[in-house]
Amino acid sequence: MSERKYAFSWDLIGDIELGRPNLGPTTRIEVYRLLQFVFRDVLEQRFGSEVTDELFYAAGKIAGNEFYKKFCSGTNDINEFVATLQSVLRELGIGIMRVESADIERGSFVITISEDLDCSGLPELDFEVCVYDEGFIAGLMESFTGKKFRVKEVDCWCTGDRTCRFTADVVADN
Amino acid sequence: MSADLGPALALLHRLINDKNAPENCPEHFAADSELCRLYDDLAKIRQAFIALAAGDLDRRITLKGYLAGVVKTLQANLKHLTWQTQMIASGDFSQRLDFMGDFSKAFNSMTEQLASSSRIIREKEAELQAINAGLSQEIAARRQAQAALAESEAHYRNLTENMQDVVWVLDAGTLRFTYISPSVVQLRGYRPEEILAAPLEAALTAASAAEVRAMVDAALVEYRAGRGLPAGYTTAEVEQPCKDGSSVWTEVVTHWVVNDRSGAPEVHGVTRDITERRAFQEELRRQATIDELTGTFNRRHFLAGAEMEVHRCVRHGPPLSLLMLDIDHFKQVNDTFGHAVGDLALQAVAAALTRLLRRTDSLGRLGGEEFALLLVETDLGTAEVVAERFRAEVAAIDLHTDDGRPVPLRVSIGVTEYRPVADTMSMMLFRADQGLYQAKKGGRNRVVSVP
Repeated sequence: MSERKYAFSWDLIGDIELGRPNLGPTTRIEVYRLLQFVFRDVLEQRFGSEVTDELFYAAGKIAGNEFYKKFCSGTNDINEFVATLQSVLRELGIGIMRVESADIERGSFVITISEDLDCSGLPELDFEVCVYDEGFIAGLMESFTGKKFRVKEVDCWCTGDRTCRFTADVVADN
Repeated sequence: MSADLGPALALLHRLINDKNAPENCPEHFAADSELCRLYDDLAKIRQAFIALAAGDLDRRITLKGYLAGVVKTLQANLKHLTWQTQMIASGDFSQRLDFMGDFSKAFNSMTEQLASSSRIIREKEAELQAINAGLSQEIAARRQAQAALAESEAHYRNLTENMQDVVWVLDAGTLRFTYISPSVVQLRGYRPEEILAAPLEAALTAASAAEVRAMVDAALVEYRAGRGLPAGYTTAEVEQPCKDGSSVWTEVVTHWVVNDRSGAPEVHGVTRDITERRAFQEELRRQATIDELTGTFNRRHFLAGAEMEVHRCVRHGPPLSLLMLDIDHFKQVNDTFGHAVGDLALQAVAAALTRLLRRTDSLGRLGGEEFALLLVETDLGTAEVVAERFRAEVAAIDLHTDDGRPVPLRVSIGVTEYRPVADTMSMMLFRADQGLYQAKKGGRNRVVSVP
């Protein structure tokens, strides 16, 4: 690729306060999901389901890295990091994150996200759809620990608020 | 209820109510696949609840759907609660619950209380650390001070134990020594422990002890009356007994101190051996009063003493007599036998006169070969008799030179007595000198009185 147009930068997000003095920084979830699912649609048609999921995972990972740098950096303490992340995720309406287990030494974590921005309220499907979330969590964990993580949505269930369970494990060849 | 549904409902009721219900749909219901699928799903949910009830939070719930989701939510909440509890155990009291109703309130109240208690403990700990730091500094400072004090004490102990002077502390209330430096052994022969075990009287002569006791008693009376202790330093010379039975004269410098610990008044003192000084003073006194050659009073001291006797006579009345005595032809003695023999002659005359002298009388050499004698309580008549004895005693001196030549010695004596009421020593000397002159003029070796 000789010259890129979309290498991510927060500058690309623009000055929302300036640009939306009346509507503000929020929009409706269905608009966000409309964007995400039509992307899935187009990408799947062009590249197939597997590549689409890979692209979403990769995009989520970049988002997780950038999100960490913008909102969660500044501490080396895992508890403080988790607390900050929980607070920011809730404050920005992304989801309610909870930790089920955290083994720092083994680099093994299990977390759940309720009222998830991507999937809460979706109809029950036979497959996990939160690949963007997987990448997002992997980006966060890698940024915090400096180690590569593999994140997998292991459970996605419908309880009315649709909670997703993710495992995050350090990749052995770090 | 349809009769056909009876066994199926009984099966499902058993799944709900019977602990021993089969895990999978019984074979004799296999034909009814819908019933078996329902049974198997409910059995999975049942197993999930049983696991949760048993505290097994890791059992994987594979079933999907709303009810399974509820059980998964409960499982996830309990696992999150477990993690939060672990965080609390590690000291993170910021954990809060918002998904378990009243339990959340109790939990949050507990963590807030823990956070508050932890903050208080940290504050107290910080205070204690600050106090500890202060105490550590204080202890370090005290240790330094103690080390400095010990060094200082060692220095002064070394000083006091090696100095000749004796340093001591006397408890004023008991009149017992509470400290005395080892140098007392050199001074008096007693060891410090002997001094500490003995009363004050053992350290002083009876007179000195009485003086000290009176001085201490007077000071204590003032002190107990709230008028403080005597200020400044007091110096006294006292005679102290030694272990070998002798005594030693000492100079004692004392001052009063209130004991820092007991609050009791005590006397601190330094005692110094002044034997040499007193000997020197005595020598000075002797040199100032005694004629070196003859051992009699010198002119100045004799006249001073005589003057005092005259004053006494003015107050109390006579008798008092004065004799002036001169060795006859003393120049010839010197010229003939030499000055050394002349000195021997002077010493022999002085010794002869001294032999006859009463304790109350005094003899002085006025100069050259001239002597004077003051006879107290002696009238002129008696003085003449005594003068004659003196003359005879001198005449009887048997003095020879080294080569055996005899040195004849004779004296002329003028005698006078105090004349009431306004006589003076000068006038008495004048009259005695007149008598002496007349004795010389009358042929020497005689006594002439001039009343």
